[in-house]
Amino acid sequence: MVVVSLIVVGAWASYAHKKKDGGVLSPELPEEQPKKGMLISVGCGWSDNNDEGKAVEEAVSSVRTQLGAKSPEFAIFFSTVGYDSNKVLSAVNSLLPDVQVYGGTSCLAVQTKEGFHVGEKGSLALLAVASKNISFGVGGASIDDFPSAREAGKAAIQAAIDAAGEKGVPKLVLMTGSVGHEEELLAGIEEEIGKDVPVLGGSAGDNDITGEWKQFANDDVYSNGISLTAIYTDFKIGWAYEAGYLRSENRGTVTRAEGRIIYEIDNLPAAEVYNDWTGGAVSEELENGGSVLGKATFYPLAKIIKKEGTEYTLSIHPLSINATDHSLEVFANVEEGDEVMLMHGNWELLLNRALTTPTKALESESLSKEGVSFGIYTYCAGTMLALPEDERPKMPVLIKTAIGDAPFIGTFTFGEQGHIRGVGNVHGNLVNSMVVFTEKAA
Amino acid sequence: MRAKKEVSRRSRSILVKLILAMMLLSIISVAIILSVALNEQRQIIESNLIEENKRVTEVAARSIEAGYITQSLPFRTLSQINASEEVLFWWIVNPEGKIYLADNPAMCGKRVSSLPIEAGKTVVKDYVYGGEDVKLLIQPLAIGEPGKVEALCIGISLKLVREAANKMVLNGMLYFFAIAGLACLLSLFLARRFTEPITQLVVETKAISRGEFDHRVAIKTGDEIEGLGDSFNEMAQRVKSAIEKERAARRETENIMNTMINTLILVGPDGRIVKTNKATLDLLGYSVAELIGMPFDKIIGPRDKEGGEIELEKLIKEAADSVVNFETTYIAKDGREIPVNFSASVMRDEKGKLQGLVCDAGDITERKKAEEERQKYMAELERFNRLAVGREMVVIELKQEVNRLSARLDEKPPYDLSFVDATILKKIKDSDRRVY
Repeated sequence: MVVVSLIVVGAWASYAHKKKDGGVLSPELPEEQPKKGMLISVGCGWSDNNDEGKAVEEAVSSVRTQLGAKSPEFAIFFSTVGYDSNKVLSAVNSLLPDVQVYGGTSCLAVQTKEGFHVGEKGSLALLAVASKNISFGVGGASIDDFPSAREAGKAAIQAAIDAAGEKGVPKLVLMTGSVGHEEELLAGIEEEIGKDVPVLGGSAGDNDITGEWKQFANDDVYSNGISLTAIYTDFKIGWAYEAGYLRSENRGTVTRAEGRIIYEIDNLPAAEVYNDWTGGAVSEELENGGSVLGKATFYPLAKIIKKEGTEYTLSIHPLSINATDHSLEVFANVEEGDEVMLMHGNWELLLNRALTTPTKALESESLSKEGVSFGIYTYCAGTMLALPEDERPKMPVLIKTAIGDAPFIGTFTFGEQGHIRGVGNVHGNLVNSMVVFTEKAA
Repeated sequence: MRAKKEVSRRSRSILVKLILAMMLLSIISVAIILSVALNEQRQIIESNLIEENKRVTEVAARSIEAGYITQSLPFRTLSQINASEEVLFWWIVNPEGKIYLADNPAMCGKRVSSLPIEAGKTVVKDYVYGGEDVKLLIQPLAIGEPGKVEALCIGISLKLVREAANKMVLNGMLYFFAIAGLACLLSLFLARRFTEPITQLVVETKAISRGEFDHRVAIKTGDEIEGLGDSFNEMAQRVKSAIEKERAARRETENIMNTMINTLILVGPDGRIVKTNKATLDLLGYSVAELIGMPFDKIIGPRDKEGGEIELEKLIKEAADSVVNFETTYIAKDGREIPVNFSASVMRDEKGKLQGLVCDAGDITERKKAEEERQKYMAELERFNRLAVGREMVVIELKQEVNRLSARLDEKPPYDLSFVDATILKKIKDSDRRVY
């Protein structure tokens, strides 16, 4: 029996044992420190600490470490609604006095080049800039304080320009708006700076569309407001604003609409038309009514904008179907006569935008990724939620692939504002945008 | 009973040894076969796994290359690949070995050492990932800067192989024990079949050794053992015949011995009587029991040991001599000395080793008496002869004298004395001297 045991054990051992010549992974590369003596110094930090105060401290600490002796003049601050917005903004202002703060709340997560940050309670990201070559002016306004959102937008851009201390129109405006007022706000801004200045950003988001979103402008926290940053610089700023969906053959004209409700397309109930175009994807909702937010992420409508022979599309996210009149509520204003088209896509397409849009931002000004100082990435929360959960962390990786190791800050918004050259600033849904700053002179 | 037990114990021992040997052989054979089969099977599974995933890797690589052009990486394809239980991870690695895209973003920025990237060829490398042995499939990608090859690396878990192998081993063990059990039963059966004739042979051999020569074995195995059984039966028959012949010969010998008039005593090398015949018993008055084992000295030779003593000790020690027709005496149980005509010869075995003396003696009491009578008679006769012969001699002498005188007278001798030779003349003179 001993012999048998040895044979069995020997056979098993020889069978089980295989020599490996496996390689190894080297330790993660050390964090690159900002180059000294650069014209734009950037510090970026993040935290998902459950304690708001500690979270801000951690983020600010990273920022300071990266900035070294440089004092920032401007900071972009995004936080999820899990944190008390007043507390975190107050903490930022406290730790970074004399720094203009622009930002707002983000849906579920924030992102930096270090990753996609989702905290147990919340997460926040802070990007601070110190540069004598860029003038930042942060201005904000509460829509409730003005007769209209348009007036609020106008007031906010005036404040931002004033804060920048520069004359003339800014080179670019960053915007964090409020859901439902975007077009009006843009109109107010454009009233001041015209249609040629790109306004890029998104509407502040919350975690479950319950209106908890906030806008941050310096030490002000708005629930229904706007925060703007007017940027003046001689350096090139690259940007891109795109939805990235595929076009379809299904298109029609809005024949009856009011605000953000489309009643009819080609004189037919809008929801029925939309259901036909999608091949019956929302049949259940057509019968019972309700939200189509999730399904519509892969089947958005797009406003067709024609300008000088070029046809642009501005995607609009269908929100819900009214079972009574089969009208279709969307996340952007629609007017009678607007031509609309069905777009389609999948999560892969939406994820790839994290690569393509930053790349296009660089291409917009013929920039190389090595020259990027920092970036601001805005991504529609709806599309982010449409991504499989384990695919979401790839977004910052793709952004890094496009812009290199430059720091960036990202937020997830409920509607995105951007610029169509020759058309002006628009509000769309399911869109993403990237703004990259460089030291390259214009 | 004891002998039967002994036979049973020995046959059991053979049976046990045979069973153990067969079982061991079966188990070792099964173990080796299973081990080899399992190893082969594992390699096949592993090879299939690698080949299958090589194709997957190639497809993914082509998708990445296509996506690189359109800036649309095939995340769904990669996700589907990653969803496979076999695939642990995927990395896209730049020419410096730095991971810049991975299923797990935490891996981005890390470097992979010793990464063999060969253009146009999928390389398979053993790798350790998270403490687990994996196969790393390295598929070059035709993207990036010209002349610098990036690669798609896909980590293939060998967990399924291990699980399959473990399952196979488990099944193999079940088979092993089942076959081993079967082998045991078969071994028991075969060993019993094999040892049964041997056991029978042992039992019958024992019986024959006890002198029961009528025992025979009935083995019908159709093999050498049956031949052995036949040989055994033949041998038993021959032994029986030989023994019967020997017995007959012995009986005949004993009959001859007992019929002999002369006494016959077989003396062992130690000088003690080993065997004797009826004539000896009758002559000496001893019973067989009394005589067998008795020192031969006790019955041989004159009591006074003077004259007629045979040098028996010398005869035995030297074992090189023999005595023929030597007159001596045997001493009977009642003390009588019986004259015998004794002859003895040394008996040796085929190797020349002394086995004893064969002593043959004839009772010569009557002859002795007759001889004594004859000697008396002869003495009488001689005395008478001497008287008669003397007178005749005187007559012959006188006639000779007459013839001599006649010769002196030149006369013809009147008496023919030609029959008288020198011997007679000498006897005449001698008898003349004895008589006169």
